[in-house]
Amino acid sequence: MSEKIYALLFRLFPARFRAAWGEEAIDLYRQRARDERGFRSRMRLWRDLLADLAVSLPGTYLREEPGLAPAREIGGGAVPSFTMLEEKPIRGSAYFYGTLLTLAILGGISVLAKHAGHFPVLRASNAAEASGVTMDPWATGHGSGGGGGDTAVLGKGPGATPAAEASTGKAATKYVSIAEGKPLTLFDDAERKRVVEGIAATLRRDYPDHASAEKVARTVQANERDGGYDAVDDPAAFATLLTRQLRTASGDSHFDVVYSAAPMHESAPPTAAQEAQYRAVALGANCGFEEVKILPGRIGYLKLDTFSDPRVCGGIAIAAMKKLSASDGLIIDLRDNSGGSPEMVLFLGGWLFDKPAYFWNPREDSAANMWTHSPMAGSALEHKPVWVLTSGRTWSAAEHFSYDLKELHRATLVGETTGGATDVGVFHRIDEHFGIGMRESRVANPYPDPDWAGRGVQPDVRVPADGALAMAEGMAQKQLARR
Amino acid sequence: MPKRKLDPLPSAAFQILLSLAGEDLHGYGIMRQVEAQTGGRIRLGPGTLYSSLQTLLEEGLIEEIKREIDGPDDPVDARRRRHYRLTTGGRKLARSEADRLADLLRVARARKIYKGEYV
Repeated sequence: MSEKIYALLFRLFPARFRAAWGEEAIDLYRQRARDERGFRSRMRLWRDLLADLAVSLPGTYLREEPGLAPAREIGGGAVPSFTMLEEKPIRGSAYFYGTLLTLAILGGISVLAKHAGHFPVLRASNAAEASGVTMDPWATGHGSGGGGGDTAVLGKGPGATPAAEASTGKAATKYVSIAEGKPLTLFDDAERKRVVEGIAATLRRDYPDHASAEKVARTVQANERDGGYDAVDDPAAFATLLTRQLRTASGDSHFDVVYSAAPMHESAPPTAAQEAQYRAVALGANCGFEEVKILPGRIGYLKLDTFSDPRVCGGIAIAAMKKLSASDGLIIDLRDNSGGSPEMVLFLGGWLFDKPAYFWNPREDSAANMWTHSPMAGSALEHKPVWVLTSGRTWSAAEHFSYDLKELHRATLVGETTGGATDVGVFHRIDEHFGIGMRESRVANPYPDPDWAGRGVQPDVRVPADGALAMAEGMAQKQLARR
Repeated sequence: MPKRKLDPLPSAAFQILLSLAGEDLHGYGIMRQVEAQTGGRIRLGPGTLYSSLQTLLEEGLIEEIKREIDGPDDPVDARRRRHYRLTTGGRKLARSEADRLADLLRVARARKIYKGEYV
């Protein structure tokens, strides 16, 4: 047995060497094996053999330079002669083993690649934060609502308030990122004046309602002149106060003054590497599709924790929705959904309608970009009842999804009022620590209820978030039983 | 100008030349002889042994001899075993290598590296 193993190992040597010495080498092994018995001797023998293999193998291959065939003289000595390389043709079996080895390596790589994408330990948010990529395409410029405009981005900063976490917008060719740098050390009258003047200038320049912009700008400037902000020592409280005043004076809840302790810098648009990183993180987290299953009573259950970019996650989304199409009713759990791509909102929403539905989106510039592409091929969900579970953590794009399904009377919302994200406008950086987000789209909201910005979406059935699934399941079972 | 494969002489090749200085041996005999003359420090494995033998043969430092019968104990194996003999060139090379080492030893002694029990 062990002789066979050594004979196999000896095949690692070059063919020419094997032909010359194979028989003797095996013979030598046989004699050593005969003379060296006992466990220790055997171990020593094999250690010798393996060490010898490692040491001598490279040498034998290096020596395998093809032999030089003697030059044949043609004519007289004046004619230059050539030395020919004497090389054996490659054996047929070498091609076979080469092919086998290549296939094995390719197979191994594909298995590894497949597995690497499905390790559930990679939580989207943690991984994203660790890698500096945010899962929210609104914040990376992935899903700018299809309007083609550039996106102003405020990334996530440590200690930032939820409202400050993802204020985004578009149309301004400007990216803002939070980076290492010196925190705000001096918050004084001069800084307060600079912020107020910056806000007034931004309003006058970019706010679509000029009359309102003028009125609001004057209000805050007058407050500043009269010393109304002198007592505000805390920059975050200053931002909150300004936000409240802007909203009151304008009646527009999309205003959001943001303070970031870490300095914000203008930065470049996302690079290809960042896009690749987004793709890896999104796919690693299964694009936020935490659970896709059919509960007892043929109730479909989708737990979706983020709305990912459909250009990356379309395949996963389609597979999930097709699976859920087998149900008689659908529960969509957005209680832990932090938002994401408005394009995914339209894409998933599209599966619930048999004709295009208008998903109003306060940040979108063009009404044409707010329609779903219903009916979606493969969907059997168009006329089935839908329940959406919400909580105070339901945020941004998840509020967009909940709001429009509610206004379209397509779903019953079960749970708590949603977070009320104001990241529905364009973000303007005023200085390193302050910025303002405001809605610049002129498309009017056709629905009776104001959108979620600053107030959240009210549920139809108010229950604590923890009990929302049980409540919705009960409602679904009752309703489906009646049919 | 052909490349000299044995310059400098590898220690395995030198040991093989030394092992053949006394008597003609076959591969396994060389291996055992080298083991004995180095106090068990060097046990040549088949890869090292036969690639060294091949080089020594190519350089004409050893030659192969045919022997019909090795000994009375295993005549069947012996018949197909190749034996090797040191050529004059091989003996000369072994001697010059030994001289070189002796020179080295003299230097080591002069530099007071080689002395006492520290070797």
